[in-house]
Amino acid sequence: MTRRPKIIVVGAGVSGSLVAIRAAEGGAEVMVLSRLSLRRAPSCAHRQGISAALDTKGEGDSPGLHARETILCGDFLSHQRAVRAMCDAAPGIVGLFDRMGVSFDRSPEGIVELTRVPGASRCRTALARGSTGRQLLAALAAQLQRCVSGERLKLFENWEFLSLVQDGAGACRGVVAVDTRNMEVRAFPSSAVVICTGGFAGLFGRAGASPASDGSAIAACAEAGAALANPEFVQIHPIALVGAHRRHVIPEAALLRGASAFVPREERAIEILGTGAWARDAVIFPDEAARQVEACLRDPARGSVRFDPSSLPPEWERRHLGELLPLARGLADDDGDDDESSWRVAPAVGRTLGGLWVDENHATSIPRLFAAGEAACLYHGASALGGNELLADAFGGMVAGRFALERGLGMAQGADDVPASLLEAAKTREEDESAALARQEGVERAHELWAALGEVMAASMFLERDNRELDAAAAKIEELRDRCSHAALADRSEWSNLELVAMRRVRRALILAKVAVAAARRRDESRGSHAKSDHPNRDDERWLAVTRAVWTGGAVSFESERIDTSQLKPEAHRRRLKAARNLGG
Amino acid sequence: MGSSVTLKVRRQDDPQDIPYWEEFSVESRPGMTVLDALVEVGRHSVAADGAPTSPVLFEHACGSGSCGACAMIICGRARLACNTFLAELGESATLEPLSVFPIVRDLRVDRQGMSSAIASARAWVDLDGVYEHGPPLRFDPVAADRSSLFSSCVMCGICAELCPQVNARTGFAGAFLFAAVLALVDHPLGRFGVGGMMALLAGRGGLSDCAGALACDTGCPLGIPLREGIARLQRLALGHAVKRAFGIE
Repeated sequence: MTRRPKIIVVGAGVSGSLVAIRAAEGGAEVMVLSRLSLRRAPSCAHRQGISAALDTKGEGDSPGLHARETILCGDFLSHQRAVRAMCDAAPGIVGLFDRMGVSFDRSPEGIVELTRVPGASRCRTALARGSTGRQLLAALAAQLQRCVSGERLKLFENWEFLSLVQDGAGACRGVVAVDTRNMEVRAFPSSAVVICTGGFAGLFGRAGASPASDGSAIAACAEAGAALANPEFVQIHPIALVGAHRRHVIPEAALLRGASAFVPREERAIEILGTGAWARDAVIFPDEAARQVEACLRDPARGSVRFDPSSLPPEWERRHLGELLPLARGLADDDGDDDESSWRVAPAVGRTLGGLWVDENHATSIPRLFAAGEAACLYHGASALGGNELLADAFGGMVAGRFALERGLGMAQGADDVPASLLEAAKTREEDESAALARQEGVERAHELWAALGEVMAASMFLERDNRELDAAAAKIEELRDRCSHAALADRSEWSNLELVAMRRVRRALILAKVAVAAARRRDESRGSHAKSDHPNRDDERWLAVTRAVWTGGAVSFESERIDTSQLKPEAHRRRLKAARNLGG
Repeated sequence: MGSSVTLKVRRQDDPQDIPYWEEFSVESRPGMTVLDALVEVGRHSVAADGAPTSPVLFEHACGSGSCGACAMIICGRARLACNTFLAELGESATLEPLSVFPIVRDLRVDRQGMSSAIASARAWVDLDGVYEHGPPLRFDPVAADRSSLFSSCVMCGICAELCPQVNARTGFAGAFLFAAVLALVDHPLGRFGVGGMMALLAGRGGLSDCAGALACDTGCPLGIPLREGIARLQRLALGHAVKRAFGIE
């Protein structure tokens, strides 16, 4: 008798939602755990659009070309077969979202409008009003609710994942989670678990990402023995509004629609990114653009970079920058900014490109544990091509949903076979840890440690890295890890105590930070977004490989996994591509 | 250096407890939002009188004006904390939780009721399945643009907060429900379900309970054109009611 496999999905962003719906449609019993309520996943502020080679403008675009440009942008560090599969599926995925009710921009003929983004030679990115990510989430949330009403899925919102339940062989048999309202801890058995909790860009100070992206679940899996991949790689966007504590990424597509970034001068502004700059065949890839902006900011003779949206078609600006306007205005007022027509900008970390190591089926190195979305590392390599981030999240979600279901169907032992004693032991372990954390004495505060970590990451792991700074960062992180054990709670309540949750998160964040910094230190070359001043060239002989990291007993060990380059052989330098039509879609 | 702002926060330790006020002093730096100030409060957890206290609990997610998590009442107005700047508030600011939702703790409220309302109206596309399916849809660009305005709703709850009809007597959920339906009425597939959704909106707590105050339209932080949307739904409702009366639907 085939029992329905029980799949637990952790995270309800773009990837998690698709895993859940795919698995539910396939007949699995699905449970979705999300620390935030639906529609609030960090995907919601993702404004870069979603790419697919639909070739709606007669440019001769194709999934093959899309795949090549993806691999090129990633500086040859992506999983080539997986990238090809993703690009092949992309048109169908955009079509799926279209059917779900996502209101993409339309062309005059009424099909999905596609735009060009930096790094791409063809128009293939679909955008939706406000932020594309949020529009996808809205449609996905509605579908999740449809599944709930059809009794194919259960939603556990405001539950935070704590750790995996593992059997004697180390396989994942369930999860332990806490209801963040009444602090009830529970262990849930499963046939398979899929981690879709996003990345850890929130660890960086001054990031263009939500602090909710803390990688807590990734670290918990690493502690359980799951391998990590490429933790040293982050996606850095060239232009972001500069806020007091964080930045707000501006969609790069604006630069190909008439907006520009420039260095202010008395006589004539120097345009560094935008229509004129592309025409001069200057920077193309997002990380290169980010480095150009950063170079201007560091040069005392130039000093600041501003973003000018005034040449954008007004309707386009309203639709795609509208959400940023209240922020831009408020920040400008505070700056005592006289120039109302442009915004002060700087580069910002948008997301992490590394995460849990997965194979093409999105299986991690722990049996019965899968991962998808930003939490998993597979498609982007050293730098993500515009519009591919949401695409990879969606595609990864569909693949993981399918394989978790298939594996679940093929298992002799399912959720019902998990011994109650195993669940009870896991639950008790977490309750004991919470109690221990609550009892901890000391002068440190979780939020202070978090802020200090943010500074370390922003200083040492941003656009220009060097080994001395990375060594100093590693030492600082060790110090913070030690200070963690002297952190006490100011909040002693047993109801909705998020400071208790924060204490766990910061401890885990420090683990990820340690691994990421060590990986960056180890990779002595420059590739994509990882640039080292003391090693400025790409070194394929040593480093054309995924960094695979394993955490054991407080220390990290590394391996290099060579990239299979049978689809596209690496070229000495990332070639700049000619656009099909000059200067934007 | 620089000025400091006094935050007067209405706190409550748990749903059964009584609310109380606590003041915090935050050093105001350029570009700081109310969200930044609350994070600062959490870092130091010291009240204005110097007494140690617990961090103020509030919901926040994207920090970028995109998710609606941080909706609260700031100086008497329902706003998002992440794009309300300290500079516009003066020397002191009161922070209170939204009043139409059950309190969880401090500034955090339980907005599950909003999801339930959307689910009751079955505001979704009846998708065959998450697999690839035929040629791309054609959607009139003007109608698509209008739909995108309504699908931008982040379910912050501010419209419910401002609406005089959202109370225990009417069972009215709030204008966000209409936004969810309006996002679908013109969509090539969504419109298949319009008849069903309109029938569900015809009952108690539905369209007829909108009193036309239109506070929702004024207060929506994303500027969703609810006034125009509600008028459209009322016209649609009439048409569908007639169809139902004649047994066509």
